[in-house]
Amino acid sequence: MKFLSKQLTHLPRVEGHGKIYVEIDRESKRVLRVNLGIVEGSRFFEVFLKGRNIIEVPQIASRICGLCGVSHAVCSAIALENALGLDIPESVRRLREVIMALNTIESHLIHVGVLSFPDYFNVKTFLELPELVRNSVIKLIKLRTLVGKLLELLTGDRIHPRNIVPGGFTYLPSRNKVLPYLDELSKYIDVLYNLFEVLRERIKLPSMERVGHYAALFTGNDYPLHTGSLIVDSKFLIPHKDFKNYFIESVVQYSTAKRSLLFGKESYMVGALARLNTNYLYLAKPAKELLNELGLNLPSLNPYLIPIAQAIEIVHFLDYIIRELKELELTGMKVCPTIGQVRRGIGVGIVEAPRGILYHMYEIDGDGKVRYADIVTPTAQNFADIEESIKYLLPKLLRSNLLVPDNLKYEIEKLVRCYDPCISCSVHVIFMK
Amino acid sequence: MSKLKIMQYSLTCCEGCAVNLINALASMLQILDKVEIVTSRILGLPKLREADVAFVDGSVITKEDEEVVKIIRRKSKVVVALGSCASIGGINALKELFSHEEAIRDVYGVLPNIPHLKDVKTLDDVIDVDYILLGCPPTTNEISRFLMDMVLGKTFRLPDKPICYECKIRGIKCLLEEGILCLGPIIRAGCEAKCPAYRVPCWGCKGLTDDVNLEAFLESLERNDIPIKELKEKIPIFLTKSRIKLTSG
Repeated sequence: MKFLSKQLTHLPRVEGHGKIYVEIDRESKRVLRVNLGIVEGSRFFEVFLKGRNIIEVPQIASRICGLCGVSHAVCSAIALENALGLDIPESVRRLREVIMALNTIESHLIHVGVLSFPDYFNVKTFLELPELVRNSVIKLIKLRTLVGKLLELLTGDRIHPRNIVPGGFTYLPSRNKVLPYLDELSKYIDVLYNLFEVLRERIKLPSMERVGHYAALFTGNDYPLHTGSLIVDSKFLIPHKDFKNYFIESVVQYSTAKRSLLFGKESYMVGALARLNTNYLYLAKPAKELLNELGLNLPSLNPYLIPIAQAIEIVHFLDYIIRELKELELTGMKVCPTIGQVRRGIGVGIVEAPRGILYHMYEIDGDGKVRYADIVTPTAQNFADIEESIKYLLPKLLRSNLLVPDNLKYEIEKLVRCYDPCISCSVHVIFMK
Repeated sequence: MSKLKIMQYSLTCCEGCAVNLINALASMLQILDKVEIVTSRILGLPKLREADVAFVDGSVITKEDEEVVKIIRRKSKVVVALGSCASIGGINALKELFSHEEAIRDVYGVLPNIPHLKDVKTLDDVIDVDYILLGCPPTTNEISRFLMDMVLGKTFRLPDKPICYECKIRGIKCLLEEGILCLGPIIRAGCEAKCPAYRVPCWGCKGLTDDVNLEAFLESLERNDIPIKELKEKIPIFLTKSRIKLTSG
């Protein structure tokens, strides 16, 4: 049991209250320190998951996040299935991917529409956007409502899915309830395509040619959200079970959230841009066209491109969902939540949550109870990369006479928001010197 | 008519309730000109402003949480505890089953300087609360109904029937009768029985009804061969801080 002797980890509730500390020497304009600290209280999920029956775990784990509850539910189900050595029918796998894709669109639409657009136009909220753009954002909100309703139909609730258990689903709606959504959704592909062209015409994205690492799931034949291998820089495969040996966590004094570093040393990026870097060859046709229109040079680690990558993903997954659901026979996929023989074991699950790689690991006992739980969230992995980006940006800002504290603060907040660190507007800049 | 000023604030939690509040607003475009959101970090309005109705989700877990809710109380005419964590402790209170020191040590290995209170507190442990909206998260329908009542100046009332009532209306097959432990008979309705509808038993995220007939409930468990041990395991998920006490074996 080598896992048990290790220090247990903290599950950061990252989409909440964060603070950035920036220390600059006013004389020399040297950047002394950049710390992104999470000052939110911990909720101790890894503590109270211990002793819970495995059938309850996906529902409890989904309560970790109100924006990506689906990812936590699916990720924990996969980890538990691996611990049990349970095989999953292909139809379940495909519907899970569809559900993950719906959740990704829902989450991206908030970030791209409500959070990013105001930054591109230098206003505080989407309500202050120019009318034309605001009307586009309202279309995005309408799409989001539609996607949310379909997610609710497929999983029982659009925030915390109810029917996801190890082995499959407790219940699925009939096919004739799902089909009407597909026609509605189809109408949005062109709408979105035209909308995101606004990005190209109206927005000048700052360049930021940093070097660094990125990690995403990779299958070599599609754009995966919950299958495939973990791959770093589109080159190095990392076996799921060795995740914690490569991405090493540490506690820092200024944060209640832990952070992960590649080999314990270097920052890396996860999320939409990391996925696009890894899998852009496998985008659906309309998304590929949009990518070409926008003229992105991949791979890139420019954080300002993250909302653009999310926009491309929205188009891709919308196309994907419509195709998949037309094919899938829902009624044939009802999977009884009986797990069969319970046995002791350890299992890992790795999925692409909307914000990137999510890791769940469970050790279960012979009675089907959790003995140990370990969870690493995407934002915990992005922390170090966010700090690196700020360090890269700061000297440039200082040189460009932007050293009016308000401007500087705004530019840093904008940069951090690009990463979509859960509810990103919670991040506040504090000046130390 | 002046607009109803709405504040949205998330304490320590998943913020799913806040997302559903925004979902509710997005789905009732007909009242959007009757309300004005004055505070919401999600929408880019972080400053705490004077409000007619403040929706607060999450639990009071840190010292800062405790101070903020007192400010919110001073600035708001009506304070709403939004969701299970704010109103009854919910999933956050599961931690109460473990000692605080043990939990901290488990998570961080050492005892660092973390600004946690020893206990997980609900909103009304700290301030006076005018309304509670229950559920993990409360449904958009219930939030919409509440918003409509506020816009119209009416008093909102929680349903005081058990979940079973909603199962019967929707024609959902009883899980208890299949020998599956479901807390439906003792839990407050208002969710349209969304878990049993997906063949998932009720865990009680909407809290207990005002008059719990525990004896009758225990009898029905016995009738359906459901061991009381299972009930003891399920109760803490959402109801750690509720008044239900199961003493005997």
